[in-house]
Amino acid sequence: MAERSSSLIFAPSETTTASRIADLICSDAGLPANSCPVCTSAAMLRGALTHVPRERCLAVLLASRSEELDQMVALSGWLQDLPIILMIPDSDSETIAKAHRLRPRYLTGPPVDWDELRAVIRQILLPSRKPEAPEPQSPPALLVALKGKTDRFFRIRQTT
Amino acid sequence: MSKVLIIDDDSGVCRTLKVMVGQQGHEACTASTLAQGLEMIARESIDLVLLDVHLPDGNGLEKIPAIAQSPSRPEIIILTGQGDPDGADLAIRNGAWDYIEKSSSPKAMALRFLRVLEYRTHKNLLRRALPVDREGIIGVSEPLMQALAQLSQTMGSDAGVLITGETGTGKELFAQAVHRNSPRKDKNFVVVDCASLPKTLVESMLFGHVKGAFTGADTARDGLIMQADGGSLFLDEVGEMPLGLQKSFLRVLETHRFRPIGGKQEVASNFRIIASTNRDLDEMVAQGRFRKDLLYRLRAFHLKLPALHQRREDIAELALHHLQRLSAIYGEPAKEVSPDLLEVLSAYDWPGNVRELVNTIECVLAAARYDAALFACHLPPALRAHAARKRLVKPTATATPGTMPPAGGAFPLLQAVREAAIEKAEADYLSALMSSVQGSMHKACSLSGVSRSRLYELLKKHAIA
Repeated sequence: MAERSSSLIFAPSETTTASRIADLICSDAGLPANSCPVCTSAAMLRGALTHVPRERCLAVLLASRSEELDQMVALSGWLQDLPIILMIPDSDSETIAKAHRLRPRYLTGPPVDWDELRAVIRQILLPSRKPEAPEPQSPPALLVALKGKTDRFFRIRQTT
Repeated sequence: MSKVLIIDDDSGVCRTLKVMVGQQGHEACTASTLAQGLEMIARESIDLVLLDVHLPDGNGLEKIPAIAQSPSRPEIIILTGQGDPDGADLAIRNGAWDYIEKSSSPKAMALRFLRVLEYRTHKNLLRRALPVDREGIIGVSEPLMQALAQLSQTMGSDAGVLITGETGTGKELFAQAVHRNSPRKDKNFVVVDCASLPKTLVESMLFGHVKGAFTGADTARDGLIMQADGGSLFLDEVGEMPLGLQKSFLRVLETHRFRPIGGKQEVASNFRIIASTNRDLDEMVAQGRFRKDLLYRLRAFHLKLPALHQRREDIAELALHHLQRLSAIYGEPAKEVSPDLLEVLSAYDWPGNVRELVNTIECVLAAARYDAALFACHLPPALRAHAARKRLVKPTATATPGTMPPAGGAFPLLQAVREAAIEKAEADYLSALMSSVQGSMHKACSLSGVSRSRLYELLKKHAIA
């Protein structure tokens, strides 16, 4: 499994701002450089989510166009446990209404107030806010021995 | 106000009890015979029947089932002039709430009336609960259903809602449900996370500012209060709100008007306030860290969310729901779940509540990424160790003198001795508990970790006033 990070950025087109925010997060949270993945597509976001412990993950979403915000709202189910910082393309009431469907902890619009953003990131990533994490799991050793009992199992329905 | 029917042929007793009930703010009516009483019960909606045993036309104990099954299904307290343990036992077994002697002190009687009527109010609340849109709120346990019943009471109102509960119990989920079940559901649900926003920023985020209000305010910005116009403003972790800001926010709650930072004009915003906290705001008020007037404004409705260990029967359903949800997010194929996994999950106490359960499920999915089925062995080691320890540690019940078999005599069944010891321990615990909280059910529930309805049941079972 890839190294776990505590933040991810979804920026379909705002890659320059995204890189700057990634650097900011890594320096402020004391994370190794490049440990805050910048995703530019839904597929990349899904991939990143599988490597991120959700309980400690900050999601930064940068929407530079209305359609990108629509895409983020459509993916809100994937992001529902994560604290979200959201940058919106404009301050129209329709945009604001869409933005609140993602229940962001911090909403900013262009231009980005970097001091404010930095203060919020620090506050969210403060260690005292983080709940205790369960210990990481080691590879299952008993699985093979127990596999004979499948007729008693519950099945999870797959939803897409 | 509840309605109490006193069935007793002693007019003096009827008069005294009627006054006592009236002093507690309830309405009382009387009947001097069983027939008259039963007729009134059939005709009127009665909450509590105080029933004498020896009546001119029969024995009150024999009519308990009929009274309990009447349309308003009232609670029943048996009154008698003389102590009769067998009669008390029969009364309780037949469905009476309690059995008290007429010679009891007025204070003891009043406390029992108060308790049974409190229970009744609580039960009615559940019965009157309206159907709610509970999207994402999983489970059917009684504590959860009570919380949903409380939620349903907020539907027809625009008053403030305070949601309390331990970390990870789903306060934000309930806040969303309050919004979704209100007439404001088509407008914004605006989150103000008082813990995520630096204290220096909360005010400007809430109120917004005009251009040039301070260094760096190059453009005007609408605050979150304005963005919540027509909808709901959710103050998450409201206990973290700076004291200085509490005063100005209280004014906003009272007038629904505010002045953006640097602005000259007040602006209006019509929003409903919903707040949540895992802190004891009453305690904070006592310490001078939270404004009492603000607390009253926020707490027009109070939803208390149960901890996960208080709704253990929901754990399996919650686990399956989140397994399915997370599998879909990760694009994982459907996996089977072994009963032993659910058993371990259900037995654990979950100090971090649903959030901890979800995190654990995430670990399970990661550990079983290449497997078709999920077993208890995929759980984090700490959790498996806890489960193993629980299986190995046997309860060390102390034998009480009354339950020990006589030396050389016939031994009773171990099960009977064990049950008697447990009963005694339970009764002792409850007596000590109720005495230490001086009758406060709220404190008793909080200290014991037992739900209110379960505590009522136990008090009734052990006849503890």
